[in-house]
Amino acid sequence: MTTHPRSPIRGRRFRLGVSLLLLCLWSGSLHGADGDAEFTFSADPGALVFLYSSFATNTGVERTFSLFGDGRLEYRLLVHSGEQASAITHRAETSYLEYLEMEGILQLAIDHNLMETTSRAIREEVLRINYGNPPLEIDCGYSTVEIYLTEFSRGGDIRSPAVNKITIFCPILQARNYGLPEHEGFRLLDERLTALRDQAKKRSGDATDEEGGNL
Amino acid sequence: MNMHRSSSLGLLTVCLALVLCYFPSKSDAGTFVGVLEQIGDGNVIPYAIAHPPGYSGSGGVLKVDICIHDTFLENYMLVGPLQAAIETWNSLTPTVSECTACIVWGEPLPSGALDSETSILHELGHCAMGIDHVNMVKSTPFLFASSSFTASYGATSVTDANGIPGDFDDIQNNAVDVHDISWFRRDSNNPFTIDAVVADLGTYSRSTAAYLPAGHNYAANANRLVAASLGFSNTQAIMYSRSAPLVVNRALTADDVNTVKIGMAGADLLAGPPNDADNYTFQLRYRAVCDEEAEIRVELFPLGAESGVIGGCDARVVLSYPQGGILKWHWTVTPLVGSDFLGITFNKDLVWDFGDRIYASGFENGDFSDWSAAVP
Repeated sequence: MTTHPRSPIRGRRFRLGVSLLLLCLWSGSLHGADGDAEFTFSADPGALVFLYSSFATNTGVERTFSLFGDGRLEYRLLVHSGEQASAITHRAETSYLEYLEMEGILQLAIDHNLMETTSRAIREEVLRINYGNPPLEIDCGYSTVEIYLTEFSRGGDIRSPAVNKITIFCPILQARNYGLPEHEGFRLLDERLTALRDQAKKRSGDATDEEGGNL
Repeated sequence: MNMHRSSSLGLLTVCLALVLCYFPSKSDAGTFVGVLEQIGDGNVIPYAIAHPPGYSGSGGVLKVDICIHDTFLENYMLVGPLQAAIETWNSLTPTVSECTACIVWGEPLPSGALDSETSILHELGHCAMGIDHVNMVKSTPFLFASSSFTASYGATSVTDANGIPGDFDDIQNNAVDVHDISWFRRDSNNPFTIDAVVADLGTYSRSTAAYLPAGHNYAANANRLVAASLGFSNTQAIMYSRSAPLVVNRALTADDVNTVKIGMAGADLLAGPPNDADNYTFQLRYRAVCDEEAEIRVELFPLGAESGVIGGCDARVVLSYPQGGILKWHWTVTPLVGSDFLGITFNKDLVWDFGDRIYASGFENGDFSDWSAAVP
């Protein structure tokens, strides 16, 4: 595993090493519980590496965390009014993650099977647990994870590029209800991304535009 | 409770009604939980009815006990609003003009505190009464966005000539089929009418092709815009999907009440004699302790300060009793496998208005059943 410890830059950009920019690739390997997943991801500032979004079906609130190759973490808080109305952006923030933080996000997702499963497979497992009767997926919203790797391998199976997108309903509630790693992965990603965003903001000294009450 | 399944006459009626009601039509607007989720899996057909927990096809009184989970001390702030919401559902009293600051899709989301009683009333509608949203929600298959159009399965667009989403003139479009899942009043397609008409299969239908009044294209739902167009101000079904801070809606519309009453008509879906032995009533009860007698457990739990998620109902629906073939009409709201309770969870990370309703257990009337000791 190659790591490139860096100091966060106050302001808007990482100071990436020239050699690293030329390489334009991050590489990493995982030695999680199953021990043999490896991956690389782009270091291109324009390349989306990871996306986590959640949508609240009762309020129309959407949160999106977009992680780019240079460690840029864009957070958007939107409110969809529905029908023909366009979404209103309530908050847009940019912060920068350290390499290890960035890799940690991907590792968390991969460790919880989110690179190798599908939305359908998770749903079928929930159905199986509930003897064929799906849970009522009402009011608790849904979340989506998108992973964009330049290469992913496990046990000799190599995918290049490797992309996966998973949407599940009510991830936080479902993480309590079932012992599925995928639900827990969603819950942890939500928690980790929120914490990283807060930490990164503090590091960079960005002002916070907090609002009172609920959206 | 004794079970009186549908008589042969009742069954015949159901079969005839099925033939008339099932075949796709373009579809007021009460709906039942589990239908949307299961149509796609081929488990249920659009006319399925969901009933309160414990329903097994029998007539009589269904008692549903609801408690507050003790995970956080703040949860007990929900006791007063929960008791009020329980009383509202038990009364089944239809009202108009009781919705303060109600918003519909297309309007901006305000900032402020959420009314807990409103939210509990809504979630009890799902978890305790078995009814679903009256309007379209984005998670519906093929759907582009949440809207005030009437709930259905499979619509990819809606033609709305008069600009009032969810009223009689909408045309729901899909190249293949739109499954009607919303129940409307046959005589008027008016979800707000309060009168003595008994809600059952004789007065309500899903089939817009067979039973809509002349000149109507689709079932109207009880959203605020439709209410206003029909002369009712500040009125909206508690089962409308969009909620928001500052919204206070602590009452039921005729549509909320009558959707529940369709289910209460029982196995044959007919409320009146001679087939009324299968009719049921229900009694929601606040229970001070979440013990084995409780069916529904209510709590606050962290779901994210900016997630926008207000809460949810953890449940599934199962067949109420064995029903063969495609005649799987009746489904019962049931806990998830591995759980002893139906769960209603509200987002602890949000700002809540718990109201001024204080805890009441009946002690003021001499009922000490909720108390371990009474002195003297």
